[in-house]
Amino acid sequence: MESLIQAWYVFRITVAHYPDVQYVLMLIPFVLFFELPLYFINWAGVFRHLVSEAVEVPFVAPYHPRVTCTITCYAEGRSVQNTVISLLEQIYPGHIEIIAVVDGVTKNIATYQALKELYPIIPRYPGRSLVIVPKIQRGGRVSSLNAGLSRSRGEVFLALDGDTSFDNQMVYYAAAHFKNPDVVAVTGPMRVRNADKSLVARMQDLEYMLTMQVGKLGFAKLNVINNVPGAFGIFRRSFLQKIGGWNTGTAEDLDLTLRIKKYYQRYPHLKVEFEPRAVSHTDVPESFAGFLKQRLRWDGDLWYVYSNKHRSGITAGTMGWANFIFLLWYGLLFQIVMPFAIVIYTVYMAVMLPLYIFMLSMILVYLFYVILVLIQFIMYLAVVSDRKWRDSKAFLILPAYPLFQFITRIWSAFAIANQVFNKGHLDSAMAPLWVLKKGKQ
Amino acid sequence: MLIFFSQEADSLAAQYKDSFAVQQLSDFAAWERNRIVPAAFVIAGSDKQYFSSIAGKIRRDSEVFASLCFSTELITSPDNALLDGLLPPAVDLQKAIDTTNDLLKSLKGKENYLTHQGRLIKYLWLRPHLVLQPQHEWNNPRFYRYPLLEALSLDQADSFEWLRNLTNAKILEAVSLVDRQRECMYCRSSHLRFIDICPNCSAIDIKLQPSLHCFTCGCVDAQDKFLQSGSLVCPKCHTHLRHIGSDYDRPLENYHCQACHQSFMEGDVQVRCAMCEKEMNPNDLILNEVHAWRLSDKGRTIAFRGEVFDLSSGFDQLDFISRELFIHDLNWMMVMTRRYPAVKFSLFGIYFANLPELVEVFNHTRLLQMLESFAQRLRNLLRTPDLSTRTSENMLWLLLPNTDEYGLTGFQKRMEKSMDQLLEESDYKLNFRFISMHSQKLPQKESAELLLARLVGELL
Repeated sequence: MESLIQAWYVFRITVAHYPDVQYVLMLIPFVLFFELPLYFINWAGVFRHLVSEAVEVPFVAPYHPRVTCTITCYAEGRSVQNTVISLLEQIYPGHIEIIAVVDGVTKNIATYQALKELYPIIPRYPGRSLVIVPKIQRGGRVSSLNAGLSRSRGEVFLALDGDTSFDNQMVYYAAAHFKNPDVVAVTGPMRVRNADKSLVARMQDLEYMLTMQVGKLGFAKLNVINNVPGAFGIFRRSFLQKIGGWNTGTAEDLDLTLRIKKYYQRYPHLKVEFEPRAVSHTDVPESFAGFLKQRLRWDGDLWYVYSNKHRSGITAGTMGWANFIFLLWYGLLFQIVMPFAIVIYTVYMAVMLPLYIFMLSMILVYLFYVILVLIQFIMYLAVVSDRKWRDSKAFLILPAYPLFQFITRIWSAFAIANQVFNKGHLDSAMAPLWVLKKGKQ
Repeated sequence: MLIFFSQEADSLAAQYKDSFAVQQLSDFAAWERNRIVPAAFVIAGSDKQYFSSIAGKIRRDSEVFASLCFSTELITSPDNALLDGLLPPAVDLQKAIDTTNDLLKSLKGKENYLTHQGRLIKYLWLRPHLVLQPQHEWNNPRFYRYPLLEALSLDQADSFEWLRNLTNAKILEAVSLVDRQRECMYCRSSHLRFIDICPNCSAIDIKLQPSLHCFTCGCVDAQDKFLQSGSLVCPKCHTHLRHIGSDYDRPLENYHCQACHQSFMEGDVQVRCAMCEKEMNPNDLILNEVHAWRLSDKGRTIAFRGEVFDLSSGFDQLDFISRELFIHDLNWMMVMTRRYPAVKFSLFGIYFANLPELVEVFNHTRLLQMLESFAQRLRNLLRTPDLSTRTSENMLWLLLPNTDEYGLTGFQKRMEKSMDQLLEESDYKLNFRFISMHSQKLPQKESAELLLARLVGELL
């Protein structure tokens, strides 16, 4: 609270004494003030979830439609077997149709062989089927997903990654949402499978818990979910086919989410849900370099999608006021503007202010974030986490987490700059260049 | 000359009347009355039973077994293998007959072809391109049979057994492998059933039971016991099992015995023979390779050189007399002894118990050498008036005149010593047994025939 008062004080002083040149200085309090309400809204959403969990009578209608799981495979090799087996193992009375699309099969024979090895065990699982679709010409993730979509016969369509596995009730909980005809997409928590492997992985584990789990849960209650992730997206197939499946270019998941949101003004009943019990487990980059490389693409793609593909689409007229404001706030300001503001402000302070004031303000900012993260994490452990003991290991690295966030933000600024000046979206591992070039530039 | 077998007056016979002398008969018995050996037989009509009966009788006949034999209509029967195919036009028929006659002329040692083996060689010699094909019959205990071999051996030999001997003697050679099948170790039937059984108690009441293995407490149990209102909960430690590989996995033991409640990975497989109903292990089954056969170079050599090798040729030096003559002489000796007790003689039998098996262990030539060496020793032991004969392939009889009990014991000792030397030279045991009888012990009312039969009975 003290830091807030100090911040407010600094803010007042700045506005009063440097009204024209010190705009940049205002950005840090801006950050605080813009970030805090976002957290509050999020927490309110989680609270709402808690209340509804406690008050509403849980009613699960016997609804078990046929489900199609399309796994986009590339160079996963044998680990793709874990994905398929975790789907075979689902406790779900309906039929689960698994379509494994192997992109560029001539290069990824190992993945293809690993999938073929599973054929003999399929008959052991009643109500499960496996189709392997080898694609000789590499077409990228989008083409794999669309190939799966055109073959699928299930009512519910799951777009999954070859390196992601699932809890055995994932399909059961996810499919139940589609009983409500308004629900067009569902996503669930993504957990980090290899958190124990390195410090970077552990940091990302904590990040996933706070953003992907607490964050999404809160936002979903307000129907303003920012993204249905590509590695774990669950859709109503008929809706997906109506809007034409996935579109070429990188960040096809964010693109699809934005396209769904564009229907919100005309069809305000449409919903994208978050199911905390439909848990997926994925691998994150274990090395710091790998992590930076991944973020370079993700954050760069943000700019690509917002500025190139949906420049004229982000209006209150298409997606409704709630989503429009949320997108401006979270998507543009939080994800695009803030990284730059942080970089510029930090550099400015380091150059202009005496060292001890710089250090002091840095420590203040650090403390502010530690407290914020701590509250968020404790709430996560208390309310959301389904593996409390395992997750509480993250306490050990929590003090270092704001530093990690800081680095991530700076890197994010670099990634966006790289995208703006260097067309970074054309340098993606998700699809070959000739495919990426066909996207809207 | 052609002989037409036909149940009704056949117009086909008329077409051949210009080129051949044709005789029309209604059945085989009619032919047997005159036994005129024709250039070829023709079986007319489409009656399967009639066809099979005549064809079988021709091939079983001691004289015309190798004659050309045609049918006028295509008949689907395993006995087709007994025939030379459809009756060709007169010109081609004449060519076939000429070829056969040429081959017949070059065949040497006619008297050899009375044995089954000789018959087969003759039959195949006259048909140089014939391949002996196994006929598949689902209701045959062994699935395959060789009708020609059955006919030529007068149904006395098991075709597969005989084929094995013929291959060992290198008379036949395999053309192609037709099938490889497992057979019952007791009755050699191929009608087998395979059943999964419990490896613990051998009960057949086993079932596939999906099981789970909880990582937290190590509990392994049926999947049903873990399922609680749509989620997996360990029945022992109540852990919520969420993710395969990290919370639980599937044990390899997938089968469950309903009788002894043992869980196991894979059941044992037991074989039950459908014919003799005995049970056995799949590893105990006998592997039988079914081939198509043809006459080998050696077989052809035998045909045009006129020598039929069989095991007996090893004893050639012994100057066997025929069985009839031996029995006649033995009878005469027995009568003599009864009338003049001073006349003494002994009867000595040598039985080779494992001769057929030895053929498989050694090659044919080695065994022949061994027997020749044995015969050499035996001849040194025999005196000029001693008589010897063979009543079967592995049974030798020696008639030793003027030999009393004492002489017989000496003879037996010398035999044994000689055999021991032979055994020392060879690395495989020749299994032989002796039986002997001297004239003082002769029962009063027994003929030579009965005596030999009784002694053979004692030997076996």
